[in-house]
Amino acid sequence: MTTPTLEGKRVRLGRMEGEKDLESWAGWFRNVEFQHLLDVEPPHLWSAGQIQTWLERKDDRSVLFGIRTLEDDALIGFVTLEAPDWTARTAWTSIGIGVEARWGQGLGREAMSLLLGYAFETLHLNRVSLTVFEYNQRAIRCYLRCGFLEEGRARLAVQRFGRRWDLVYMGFLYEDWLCLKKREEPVILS
Amino acid sequence: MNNHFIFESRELRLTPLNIEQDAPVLAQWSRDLEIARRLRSDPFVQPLSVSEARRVFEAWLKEVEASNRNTLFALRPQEDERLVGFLRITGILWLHGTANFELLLGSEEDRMRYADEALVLGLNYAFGELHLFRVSVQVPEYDAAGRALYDRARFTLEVRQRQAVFHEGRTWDRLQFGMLRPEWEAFYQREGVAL
Repeated sequence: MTTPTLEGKRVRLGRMEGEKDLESWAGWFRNVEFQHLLDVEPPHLWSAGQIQTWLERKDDRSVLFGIRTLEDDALIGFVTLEAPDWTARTAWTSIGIGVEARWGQGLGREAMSLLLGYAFETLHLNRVSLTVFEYNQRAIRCYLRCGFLEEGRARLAVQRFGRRWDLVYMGFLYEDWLCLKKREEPVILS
Repeated sequence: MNNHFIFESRELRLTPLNIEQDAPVLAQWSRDLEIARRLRSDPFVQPLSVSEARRVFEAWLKEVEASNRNTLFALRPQEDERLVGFLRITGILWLHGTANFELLLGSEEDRMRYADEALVLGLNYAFGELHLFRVSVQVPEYDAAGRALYDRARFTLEVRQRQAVFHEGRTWDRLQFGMLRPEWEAFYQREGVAL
């Protein structure tokens, strides 16, 4: 077993800071599809300054990592852990790949796997939860491949594109993580 | 239907909060750690002091006034001014017509007596006045009375979050129930659910 790390084969998770990161972040929101896939709030635009204020206000009850490609260290998205319950050992996660040219390449999946490793093996969480819109099939496939299990649907909870869609609830338990790891460990033949 | 008295039912009234009088009652209730847990999200679940109870109320009221996403009623019996519980509709998303429903009754006795009526008043307000499309409610797996209440009220069990809550030394699932506007119309406007 290797030490948990925030670095994968193609991406790494790191802190976000500096003008350039803020400008990248602000730029992602100019793509309304990014916002439709990400949030229930009406699409909106933020300046780099507003984002800076928001980042500084975020307390120590949440984690926000930037997702960077290893090849060129470019910031392509973010992933979070929020609203931890340290008694039940649970938290919520969200993820977004802001650079559209990077969609569909499995980078989000790798970033999410890194985050899950961090959640279970560094923070000692027992459960990571998320919600995803029914119309975001690409994300649903990604989460299922990561090992998330669908746990139900809030029926017709989202109004978008002229109709209603379900809000899909998914969860990942530490025991799921152990099963997955067991499968991936190399079998040593004597 | 021309009922102008939407804040009344047979035994119960929806009323405003009275911070000074209600805070000591809430502090008293919070000696039940299950209630304390629902009032504050600190890692240390503990009973609230009266001044903390007042701060909880002030935070609730501030949310109602500032966010336009919450409503808050104190529940009192028809016959006197006693506080029996709270009904909060929180996290209203006007774009989607959705919200969460939080019903908190202080004592077991009042829960038995008033929960059903409080729920119907709340649903009528949420669908009839706020014109929501759906409401959600979360109940921990071990709360048998809560589950029975939402079953009786014709909510649908939609989500079972595995091992999401910790209670009495072990983890339990968190259940989420939902009711949609067409269901409320069918059950409460046409059929009439018997209380």
